[in-house]
Amino acid sequence: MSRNSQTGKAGKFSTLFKCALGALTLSAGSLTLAATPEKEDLKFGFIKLTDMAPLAIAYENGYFEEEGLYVTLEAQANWKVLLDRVITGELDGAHMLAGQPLGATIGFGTQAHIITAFSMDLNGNGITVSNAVWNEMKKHVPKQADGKPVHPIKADYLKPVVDSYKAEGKPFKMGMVFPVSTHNYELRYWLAAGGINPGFYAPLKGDISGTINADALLSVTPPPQMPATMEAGTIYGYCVGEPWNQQAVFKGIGVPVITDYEIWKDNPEKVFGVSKEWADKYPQTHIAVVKAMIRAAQWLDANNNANRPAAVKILSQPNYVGADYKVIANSMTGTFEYESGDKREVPDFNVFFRHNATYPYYSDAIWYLTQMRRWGQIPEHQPDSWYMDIAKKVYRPDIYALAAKELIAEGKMKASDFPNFATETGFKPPQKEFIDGITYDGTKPNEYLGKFPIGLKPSDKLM
Amino acid sequence: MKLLLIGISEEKISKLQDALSTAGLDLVSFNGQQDSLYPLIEQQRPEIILIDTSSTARDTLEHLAQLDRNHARTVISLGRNSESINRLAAETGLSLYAVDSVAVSLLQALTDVVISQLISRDKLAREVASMRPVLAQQRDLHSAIKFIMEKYGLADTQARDLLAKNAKHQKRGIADVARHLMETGSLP
Repeated sequence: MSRNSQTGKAGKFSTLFKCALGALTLSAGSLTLAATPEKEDLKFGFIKLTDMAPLAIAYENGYFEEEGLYVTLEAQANWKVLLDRVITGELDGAHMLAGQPLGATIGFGTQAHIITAFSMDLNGNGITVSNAVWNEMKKHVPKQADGKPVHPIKADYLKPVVDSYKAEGKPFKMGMVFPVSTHNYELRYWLAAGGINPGFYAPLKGDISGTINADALLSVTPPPQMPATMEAGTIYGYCVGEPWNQQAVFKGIGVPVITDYEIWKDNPEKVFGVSKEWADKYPQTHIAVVKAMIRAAQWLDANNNANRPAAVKILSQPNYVGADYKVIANSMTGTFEYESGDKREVPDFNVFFRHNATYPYYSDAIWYLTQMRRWGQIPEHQPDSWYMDIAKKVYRPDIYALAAKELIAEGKMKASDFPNFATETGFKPPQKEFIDGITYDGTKPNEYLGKFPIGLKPSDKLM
Repeated sequence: MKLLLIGISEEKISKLQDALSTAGLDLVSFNGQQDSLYPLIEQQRPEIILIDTSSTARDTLEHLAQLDRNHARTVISLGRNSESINRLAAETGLSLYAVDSVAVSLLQALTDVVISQLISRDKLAREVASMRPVLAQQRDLHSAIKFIMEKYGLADTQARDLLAKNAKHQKRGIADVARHLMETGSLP
């Protein structure tokens, strides 16, 4: 477990003193002074993935300290222990899968009220298949004039491979990282869009396995072990965050076939989660944390990703992601390598700030809930109002807005950096850029669920 | 009743084995790759699972629990005595999973045994170990006084006084001087 050294007390006072002076000069222009955080020594958990970057940068660039916060960042061994530690209070907050606060709050897996006021990034995942699967799949993929595959590569071309495995009585096995992970939903979305049924969860009744009607069998493998597990032949492909897709290319063991950006353009990825109890107890601390992380996210995207190489250098340290600079840089600096040598520009593969990436949209929360319902993690029909209620219980743009307004008042950010808080509803306009062409309108979850050829319909019940 | 142990060190297992087997539990230990956990759980269908909190197989186990309601699921509370679940994670680094039909009272008893085997037993061993030098000093002192009394025909208080004066003169502890006497047969 890595632990970043804390600032000594002397350093703490001098920084506070500087901050106080800064606030004093600012107060001539605006009378807003940030309130003192109730708790200043904090410990945050993360998983070794590149999208923990806003935490690392807020720490390394001193944004936490400027808010009067003394933060320890600690890598966690798995998503479950990370969530448990946030619930028990051992961690003040953590880098979480967007599905974790939602899943926990509705009592899927673990029951606890977790909230988020900060979305950590957009996109950043990919789907990789083994060389053997790619060689079969490639025969069906249309080619460009230069002989390279036409992108995006749909699962339609994987279907013949899956069918041939099925005919031989072999289940087509793929890996993802957690039952409520983005990767689970993205992999399922891509497969289903290509006519491959990834099976259903059945929490209400035990004698039907979660893999009923499955064409593909999904299992959970920790991200760092994905490439090795695929190399061992236990899984034929996987959906994971970086650097674990690019590592398959570097090792020559597999081919990333699609990024999640191509499955759903600018999809929300990780969030920063805290327990509701913690947020109620330390409201000013929470705002201060969100402020520091907003600044980190802005830095990560500033000047057209100009700071990314510096960020990659930090992330490659063993106490953060601990992977080679080159592997992390491959995806963090605006490109993505598919088949070895087929490196393409994907400037938005990782988005930390632009497109209001940090704002916790209710519509993002509702999309995750629709997928939980689509695959049976939510076993029964729920009215649209239920989706809305859960989203409002978990996603807290109100706290985000308080943090953003303080940053604007302090002159650290501009109002134009943020959504217009006076008119923002928390719902993105209907989004059309999905690989299957289905439009998502967060205000109508049940109508949306009715559009999928594969997936539970509003009236279906898994009993 | 089957108890599956996942990712738990040999050392911990050796401490738990006897107590759990004696109680009538069939122990199965797993330390392999997490993907072989799927067939293992299908075959063995353990009623109770203890897993190292930081095991890489933990997220896989969560998935298994959610795929099938008949599989062991994470135990969040033990009714009124839930603090022992937190103690189990915080002090022994283990998490408990069980199928719904296992009684809370059984899980409570199991948790108590695991904590006592891993924590209370170690604590006793540490306490015993920390007492050892103190007892040895007392024993040396006692022997030294007895030695002086017998050799010079002195009374208990005189023998003790002699040792104390010698220790003061040498700027050493009285136990140290006593040990020296017992090891060499003469005062330093």
